[in-house]
Amino acid sequence: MIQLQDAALAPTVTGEVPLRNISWSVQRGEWWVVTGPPSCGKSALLQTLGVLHPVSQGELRLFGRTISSTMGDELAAIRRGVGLLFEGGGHLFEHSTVFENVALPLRYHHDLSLDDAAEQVRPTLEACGLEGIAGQALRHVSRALRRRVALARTLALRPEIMLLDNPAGGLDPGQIRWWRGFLSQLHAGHPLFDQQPMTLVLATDDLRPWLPFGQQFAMVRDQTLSQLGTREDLRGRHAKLLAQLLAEDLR
Amino acid sequence: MRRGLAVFDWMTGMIGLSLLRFFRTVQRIGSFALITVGVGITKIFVARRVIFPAVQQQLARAGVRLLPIIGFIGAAVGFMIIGPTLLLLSQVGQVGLTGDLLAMVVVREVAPVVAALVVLARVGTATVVELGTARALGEVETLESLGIDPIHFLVVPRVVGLTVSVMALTVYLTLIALGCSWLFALVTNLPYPFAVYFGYIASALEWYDFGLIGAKTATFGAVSAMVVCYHGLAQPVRIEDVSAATTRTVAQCVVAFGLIDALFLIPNLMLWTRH
Repeated sequence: MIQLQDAALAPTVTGEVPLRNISWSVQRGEWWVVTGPPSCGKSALLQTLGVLHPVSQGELRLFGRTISSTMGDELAAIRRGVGLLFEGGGHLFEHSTVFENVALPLRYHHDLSLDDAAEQVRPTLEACGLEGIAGQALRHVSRALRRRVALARTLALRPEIMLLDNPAGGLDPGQIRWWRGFLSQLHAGHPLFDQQPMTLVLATDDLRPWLPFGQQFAMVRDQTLSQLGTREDLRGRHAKLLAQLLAEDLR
Repeated sequence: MRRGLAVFDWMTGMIGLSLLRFFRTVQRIGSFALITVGVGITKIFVARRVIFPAVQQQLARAGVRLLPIIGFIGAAVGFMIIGPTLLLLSQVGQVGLTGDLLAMVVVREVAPVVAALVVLARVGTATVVELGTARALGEVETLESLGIDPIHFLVVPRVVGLTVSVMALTVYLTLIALGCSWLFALVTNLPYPFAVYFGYIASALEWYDFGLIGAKTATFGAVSAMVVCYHGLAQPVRIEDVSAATTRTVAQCVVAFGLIDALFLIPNLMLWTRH
């Protein structure tokens, strides 16, 4: 579903290339956990996979299509197939309600009124545990639940791949439990997606909450992406690194 | 002599740099405007149930909510500027010039510029801050990640809203200013019965005046909206840059208004001279 071939990410405003020489492929139904210290380029990697930034070298292919040769409506369609949850949830519209925030992308792409969108948005709100606060203005919603609103908004478009940037960062244990449970449901096949397993790529500073859940692991350090393999590989071949990762917490 | 040449060199260099900067800014805003027009036309039927309410919201914000201040300024212009002018005209026995004078000064020049400046001051600056902050907080990236075109969603409603609002507010400002000046004439017993007073103004206006005023106010609104959205959205902005972007916007809009006004003055003068 995602293929990066000898790719380098676009330079930042300071001219630094966060990651280079990435050759990586993500298959349908996989759950990748990408770890690494803060500001090492994980977010830039996810935003590149979410087609917000181009690769400066090499090639990015999504759903079998090369992104550099894709433009306009086709590019917008590819973007809709990739759900990107920014760190902290991303920008939400403060003056709108939770329901209006979640319904926005659906209304925009399908030209729906608020009433027409309600039927399609309700299951997403229920899945994310937001049905009780759907009518609340966003400014009255707690920080932890805002992140769920952002998740629901992304899921409303029914993407095939979810890219999640540090979804559990700064949350209390109860919220982290919810995220782990919900993402593992998505990965196993959630009723919202007709029980189809979803492809997940999750970036995190702290590997510990996700170690029992991820299928494949990778690490970003020193401008490179190292593929560490499965959980078994981590515990076997990379036992020393794993111990270091779990002890250091990379922060 | 050599020192004088050095100063001359320095001055021409500064003027050249300023001109280059000016043309670069015009080019960038022009490109942004072309993109916006392209998006507005190609996506005119896209997401109408989302975009039309956003346009209405902008019309309410830049138009309806500014009516009280436009009413106040119109009354002030009518009572404090046009009224005393009428008094002066009647004192020097030039009542016959009333129509031409008011058509030239109030209808064609003052009302469009004042309406555009009020919209810029009350809504344009707020919009730069709003868009600049949203941009700095990642709204553009969020919209793009959801497949929503930020130009279509954020810029097009504002351009339509500001353009229509400047046009409509100019009409209200003109009517209120002229109405209040007639009230001044009535209270001060000047020789301006209602029909005569408005007859003077109507006879001084030609059909092309309405076209030119409409085009001028639409240009004021569209250009200020483009400059506002360009500074708020098209450039990478950090939170601390928002205030500087707002100041730049106001300065560039005022210069743009001056240039547009000068541009429209040429056909106005040509047609008026022929008339």
